[in-house]
Amino acid sequence: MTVAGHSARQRGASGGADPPRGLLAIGVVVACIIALPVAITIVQAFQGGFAAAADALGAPSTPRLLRNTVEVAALATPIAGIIGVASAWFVERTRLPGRRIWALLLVAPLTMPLFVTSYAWANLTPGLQGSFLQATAIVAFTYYPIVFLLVAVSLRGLDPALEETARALGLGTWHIFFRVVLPQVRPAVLGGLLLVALDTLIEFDAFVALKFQTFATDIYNQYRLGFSVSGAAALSFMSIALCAVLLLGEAWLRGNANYTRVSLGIRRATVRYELGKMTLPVVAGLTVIIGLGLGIPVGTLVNWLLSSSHSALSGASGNLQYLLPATITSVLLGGAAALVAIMFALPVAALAVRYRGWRVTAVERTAYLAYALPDLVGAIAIAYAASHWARFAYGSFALLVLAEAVLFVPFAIVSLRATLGQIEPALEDSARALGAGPLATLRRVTGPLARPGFLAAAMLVFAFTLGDISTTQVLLPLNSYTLGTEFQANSSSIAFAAAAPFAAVLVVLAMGSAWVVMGGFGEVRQLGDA
Amino acid sequence: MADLRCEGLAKAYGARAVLSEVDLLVREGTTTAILGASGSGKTTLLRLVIGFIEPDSGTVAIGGNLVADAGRLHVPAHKRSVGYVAQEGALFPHLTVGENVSFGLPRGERRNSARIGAALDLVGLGRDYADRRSHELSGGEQRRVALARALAPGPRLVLLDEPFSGLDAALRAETREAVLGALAAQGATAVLVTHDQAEALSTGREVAVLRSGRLVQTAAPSTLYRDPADLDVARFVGDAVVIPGRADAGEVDCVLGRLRLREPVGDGPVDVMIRPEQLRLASSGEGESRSRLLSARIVGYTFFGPETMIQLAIDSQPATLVARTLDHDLPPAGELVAVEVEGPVRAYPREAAP
Repeated sequence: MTVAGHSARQRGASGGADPPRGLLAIGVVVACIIALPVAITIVQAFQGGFAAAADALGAPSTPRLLRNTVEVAALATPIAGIIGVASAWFVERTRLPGRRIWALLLVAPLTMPLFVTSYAWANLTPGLQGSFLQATAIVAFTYYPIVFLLVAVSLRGLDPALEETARALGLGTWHIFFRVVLPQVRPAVLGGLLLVALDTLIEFDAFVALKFQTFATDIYNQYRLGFSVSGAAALSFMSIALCAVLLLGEAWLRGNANYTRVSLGIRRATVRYELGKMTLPVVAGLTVIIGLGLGIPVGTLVNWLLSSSHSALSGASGNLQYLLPATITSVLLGGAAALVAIMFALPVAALAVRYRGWRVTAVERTAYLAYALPDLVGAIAIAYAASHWARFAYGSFALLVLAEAVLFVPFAIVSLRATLGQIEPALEDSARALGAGPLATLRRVTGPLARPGFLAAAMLVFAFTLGDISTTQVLLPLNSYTLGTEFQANSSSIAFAAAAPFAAVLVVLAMGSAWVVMGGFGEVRQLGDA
Repeated sequence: MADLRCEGLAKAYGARAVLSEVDLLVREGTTTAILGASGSGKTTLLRLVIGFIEPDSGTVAIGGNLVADAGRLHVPAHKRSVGYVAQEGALFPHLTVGENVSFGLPRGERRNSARIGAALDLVGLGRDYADRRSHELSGGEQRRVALARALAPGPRLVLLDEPFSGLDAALRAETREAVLGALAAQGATAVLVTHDQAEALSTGREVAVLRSGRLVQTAAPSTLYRDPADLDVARFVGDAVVIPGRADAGEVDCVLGRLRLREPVGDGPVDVMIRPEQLRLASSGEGESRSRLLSARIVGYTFFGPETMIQLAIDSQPATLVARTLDHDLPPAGELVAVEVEGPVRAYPREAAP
């Protein structure tokens, strides 16, 4: 009786079993838009008939590609997870000196354009060229910030009373971390690991200079060599299948856990632990992480700029007239994509956090499934859709924005999920009862409270869009160029000095967006500490 | 303020019925307490009235205007003009107390400090509270701010979900006074949901007992206490001594003698329900009471301060009886005393043994 009553109360407090029809309808529309490229790719895969698709999958290289892909994902994901969780805890929950700076530097590697990082590692460790180790290191040290960001946002929302209770029960800091803190941030950790693993599956930019071969790189080659659209689509199948396995695995691991605080009154500010003698080792560890993730690409860029001969630079200066227009295009593109992605992600995240049931699960998982498509494949599918059904949009800036938003929407969903889940439903209920409609509630209550999540979502999509080349190349309107495409155009002719300025602006912009996110953190911190 | 009328409300989650056939009338300017154990469906009832969820069947009308009619009409929560005080208050942590209170006001009124001050006055908090942050408040203050916030826009009806839960005794009494005072000052129509019978009996003009999704009795507190609809309600709203008996011609025979009945019951085997304060230790020699004096042995005492519970054993009765007394000068445990029953009692036909 008591147990049943408790669950009934929780269900009541968290909004009922059935999602509102309007929200569900919006969620379904969004899921359909996101799933469209997947559907088109599947159709394309069988355009050449089953035999052709089977040929492509049965190629002698397939087992090797599969092994490469899975091995890198299997090793890089846990490494990124450990680095991300540990660094988030040190930054958020200890009196580490210079926390704001550390937070910024720890996020920054994610915003590095991966083609830069890839060239940097290839140059720096020629002995490891094309090796499994190199590929794993790039993925782990570039993508750990996904875990870091999500876990940091989640840690910020934790109720300190839980840790205090655990301490009162006699648990030490170490045990509290594993038995109280980690279970609480589990949705964020799993969401982060999922994204890292998915990223590895479809990563192309990071591996291109390494000549490390995975499914994604092979698919690119198929397209680039004009080999076979349906063959490449068939290979994408493999990637979609792996992705589906990951999605199911993550859903299974997360279970029905609901960590929304249920009516605990106003929360107090968080407690921070003294590091004491551990300060130096922690600082050293974080420095190594940042050195590998950020130092290598930035150092390489600086080196390119400095070591280029004067004549190379003067030759490159002819390119500088393109710098400003490219920057403007990139910023507009990134900003618009972030906005659209958040609009797509919000209904999906709200459904996933507040409601249960197979329809909700289907919408949410579908939104991730699109991420299984290597971005080039997704871009070609979108181009195909536009050229067949919406010719007016073909070659437009809006289509490119849509494609980038669809591509990176999982990052926005995960970010929003992590923070929305920590907002007491009673707060939204109270706003509704006070006469605020759904949009007003979003603007006046949910928005301000979930601000770190919105900022993290926007920053991630913005930075990824900036660093994207593949989709941009396929869908960019004629005579337009971005920082990424200019870098690519110049670097492929080994004119690194000419390419470097574009990459440098990219890095500055990406760091800037990371700074904005951390600024958002600061505001919330003041609110809590006031 | 307006009256609230619910008719035939039902709600199920999947196969599990949470509410069925709920009829409730709350008159304008009165407070009704909905009393139910956890899982009885009281929060669901509240959420149906506010408009967070839609009923499977039935209607909700506020001030004579239909706001919910299953399958046909659903006025969303933000258009119902119903004040809501969530459990623990649910103050917006990113806003000051003043900003919380003015949240539901029209845009132009939100900076009207006189209006905010008046709302804070109403719940007995000073105007200087307006600039505080919500996490600087005590639990009781949070509830009072939440009520001020709910009342400020002038709702037609106020709903309070366990408004005093989790507060210590002193704070609880103080918060209760402040909340009831504010509701009375506004002439508010209010529905208060609670699992605490003392709270329900002391706050509502009427108390509606909700059990397994059904309203089993709606009555004035004193009626509910003295004349509960069945044994479960009797036990739920207060301590009850239940002994077997036999009804016969408007009276009842049991080990405590032949007792008067408050309500007639059909002749035959019954369960007799006596409130502990109806059991009196009688000094020998008196005994004007209609009940036969019965000797019982004092097993022990539980001391509550103003009152004392006495455990009594009667030879022919396997269970101990409990009496409540305000006397402090009591015989020592182990002593034989005479017991009498004061006033009429309630009896319920005993279900045939399965």
